[in-house]
Amino acid sequence: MIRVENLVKTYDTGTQALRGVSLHVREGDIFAFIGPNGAGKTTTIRILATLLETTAGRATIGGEDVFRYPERVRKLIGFMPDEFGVYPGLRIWEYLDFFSAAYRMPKLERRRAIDDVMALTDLAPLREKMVETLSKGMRQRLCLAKTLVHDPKVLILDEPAAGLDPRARIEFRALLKTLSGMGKTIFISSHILTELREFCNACCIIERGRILASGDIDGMAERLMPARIIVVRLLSRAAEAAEALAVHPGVTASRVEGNAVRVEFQGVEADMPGLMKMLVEKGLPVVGLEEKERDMEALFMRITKGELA
Amino acid sequence: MSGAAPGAGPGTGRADGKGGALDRLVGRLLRAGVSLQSPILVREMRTLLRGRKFFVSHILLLVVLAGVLLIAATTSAVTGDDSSSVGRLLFFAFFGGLGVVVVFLVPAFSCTAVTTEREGRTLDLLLTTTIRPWEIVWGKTLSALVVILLFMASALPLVTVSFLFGGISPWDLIMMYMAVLFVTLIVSSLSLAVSSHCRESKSAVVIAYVLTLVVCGLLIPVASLLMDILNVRELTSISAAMSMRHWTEQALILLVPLFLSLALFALNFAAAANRLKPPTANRSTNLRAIWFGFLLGCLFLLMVVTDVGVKRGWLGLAEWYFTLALGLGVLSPLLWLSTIYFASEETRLPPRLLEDCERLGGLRLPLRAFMPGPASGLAYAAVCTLLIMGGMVWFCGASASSLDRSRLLHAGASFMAPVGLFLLTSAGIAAFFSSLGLKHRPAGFAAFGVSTLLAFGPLIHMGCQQLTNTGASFHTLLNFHYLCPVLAGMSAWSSGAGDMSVTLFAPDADVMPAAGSGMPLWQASAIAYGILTLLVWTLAMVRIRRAQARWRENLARIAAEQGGTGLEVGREQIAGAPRGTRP
Repeated sequence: MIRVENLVKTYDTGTQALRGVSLHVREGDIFAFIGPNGAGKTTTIRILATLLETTAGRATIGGEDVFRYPERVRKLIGFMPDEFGVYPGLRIWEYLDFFSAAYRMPKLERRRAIDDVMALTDLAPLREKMVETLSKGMRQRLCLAKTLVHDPKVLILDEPAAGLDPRARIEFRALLKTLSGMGKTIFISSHILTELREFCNACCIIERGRILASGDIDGMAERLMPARIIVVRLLSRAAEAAEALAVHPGVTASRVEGNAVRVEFQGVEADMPGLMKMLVEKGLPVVGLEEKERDMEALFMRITKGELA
Repeated sequence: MSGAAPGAGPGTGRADGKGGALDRLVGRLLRAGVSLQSPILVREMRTLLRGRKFFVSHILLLVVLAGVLLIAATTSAVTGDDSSSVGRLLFFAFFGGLGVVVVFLVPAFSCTAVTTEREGRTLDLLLTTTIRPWEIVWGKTLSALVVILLFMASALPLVTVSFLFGGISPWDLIMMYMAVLFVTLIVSSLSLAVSSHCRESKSAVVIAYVLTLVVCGLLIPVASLLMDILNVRELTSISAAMSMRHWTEQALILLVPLFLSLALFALNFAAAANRLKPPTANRSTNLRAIWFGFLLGCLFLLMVVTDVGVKRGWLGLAEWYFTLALGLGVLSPLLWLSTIYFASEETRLPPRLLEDCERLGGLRLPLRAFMPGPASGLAYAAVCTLLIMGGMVWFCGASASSLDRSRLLHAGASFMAPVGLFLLTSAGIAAFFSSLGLKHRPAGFAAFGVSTLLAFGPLIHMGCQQLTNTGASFHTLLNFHYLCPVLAGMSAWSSGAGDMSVTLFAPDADVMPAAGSGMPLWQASAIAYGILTLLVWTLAMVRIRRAQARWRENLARIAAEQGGTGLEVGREQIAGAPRGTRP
């Protein structure tokens, strides 16, 4: 759905924001675009949203060239910038009505579309409220509603969850899941990593204008973090267990943490019962064995290690 | 209150029916935004009419206007004028006040229209919708227009007072209201153009007010010209004065301001909309076309005005000469600035534009002059200069049958040759700076500076010599006054019989060489600028060609490099990626 090839962007000031970014987002994906601040996320997104010119490279959305036919691309995408304002002096429905009119929707269709997106984003009870009185979370929702009003195939969201409280974030996540269920392709940038894994199915990590890694989230985790972190909890004799584990095949490191041993284990899931068996055979009082989730944050830290300025 | 938006009313749904082609056409026009159905207008009106600011300022301005009328009425009552002249005084006081209100209120309203969206971070939201840039500008122009219309409507009772005294006809009222509307159009579109080019509201306000005052100042000579045609020396009923004139003069009185305001509006409108276009869009062709039409129209009107003037007898020989000189004096700098502007456009064009340019091919040169880029900027300069300057020369000879034709032709040619070639040189300099890799604005300013130095440096030099009065010092060694095209052109005009002449590099020559010796100043100037033009154009064209070839190569290389899907981990393609393509 989105194809970016060799995007290079050099600003007039001489800053090289992008140095050859390539990525591919399949239709229906929820694609996480991850990177530290200043990595080039917003630049890439603004180029995709037809707001910025590239220095070199190609980008297509839904088969349409972003630079050649920006008007066609605009019809396809719903764009939510990282920072945005609202037009003051309008009610919520008027605000949405304005944007649907700006998308050249006929008047009758407009009313239905507004009702739909307000229902979807839970804004319906606030229909007559003035937009400038809304809270940050509500504004975020309103902006998402505006993004959805012309029923775009692709959603391009630049850090949509930034600055939201946990409840709003969870609600936002649920909303994105719903949207994905409706068949929309979602391109979402973020640096809040922990939450992305459970609903994104592809991701790419960008730093200093280069793509460091990209692909399926699970596949990438396997490739980039071959070692599993396993925490073995014992009643006592943790040191003894650590020694025993250290010589077990596949274990690369073990460390005592109180009454538990933290093990780095290079093996597949099927090898884990063997580990358990060995501990039990030695008569160690094992309480439990638990695998730590290989979350995006760890992944991120691992990949960008040493390259952060 | 929500339904208070004017223009949200009738006009929709006409295209829904299965009517004929006309109906469909009307529907298409309506949808194209020719109707008042602009979403921008609806939104702005909703915001504006909800706020208290609008009503307070509205009432305040009405009170001020009423005060002006009151003062005018009392002073005229004291001096004891007759009734109809009191009426006319009140009438013109009212429109004077209204004019001031428009000139000061409209920029304040329009010049922040885009910058506040930029500052409030709503512009990106708006631009990524499928609304067209010109629809945005049109909507914002309409809202300024609606504000002024509301104000004029509510001020109508004030002006009717003047009708009680007589001396004014309803036609006067209609004409003046139309004039105010046109001024509103000009001022609001100018402010919008400034607004869409500025990043901050603060700078937009300053620039918009300065430009508004400059433009209004420039329109004063036009107004005085029209008053001259009407032969109006005191306050009088315009429609009465007009009915006394020949129909050609009446047409001129209507045509000149109409043309000027529409042309200015179109220019500002295009400039404002261009800035809101997608970054890869063509932002040049419409401006070039409008500007070209404007220059041609000015030329045409100048010819018609002088022709009618001579025939109707209100332009004598001296005035005819003066009008022509004034026309040339206004058109030449406009031509100069515009060619510099267009020739200093960036060398690096987006691929879509490059393709558009190439599709036109080398054969259709005149059309190509309207495509963006410095190379076509040079062509544009040539076309404009040839057509407009040539038109002037032709007009000098052909139009004035009662005047000494050969002398006029000579005067025309001697002015046009140095000035026209100077224009081409300036365009070449601008294109050269652009080909060095400078952006549009710096390249333009640099070219402006260099060509100004060329044109007016000699004048300054002469002034310095006059001041110090050093006689035959070594300053006079390089007697380069022929580089001042204005001086050279005027030299043939001022001295009727013998042209001022120049002796190149004569060590003992005075500031002004003696008449009759050596080469005429304008010829020397034309030759010098001819050589300079050739030199600069060749340089610029070679560099531009090279830069464009390099840019095309880069594009080809990127196309060739597009192999991977970008899914490999830790891929390092960056070393091979092209850097910025600026030469």
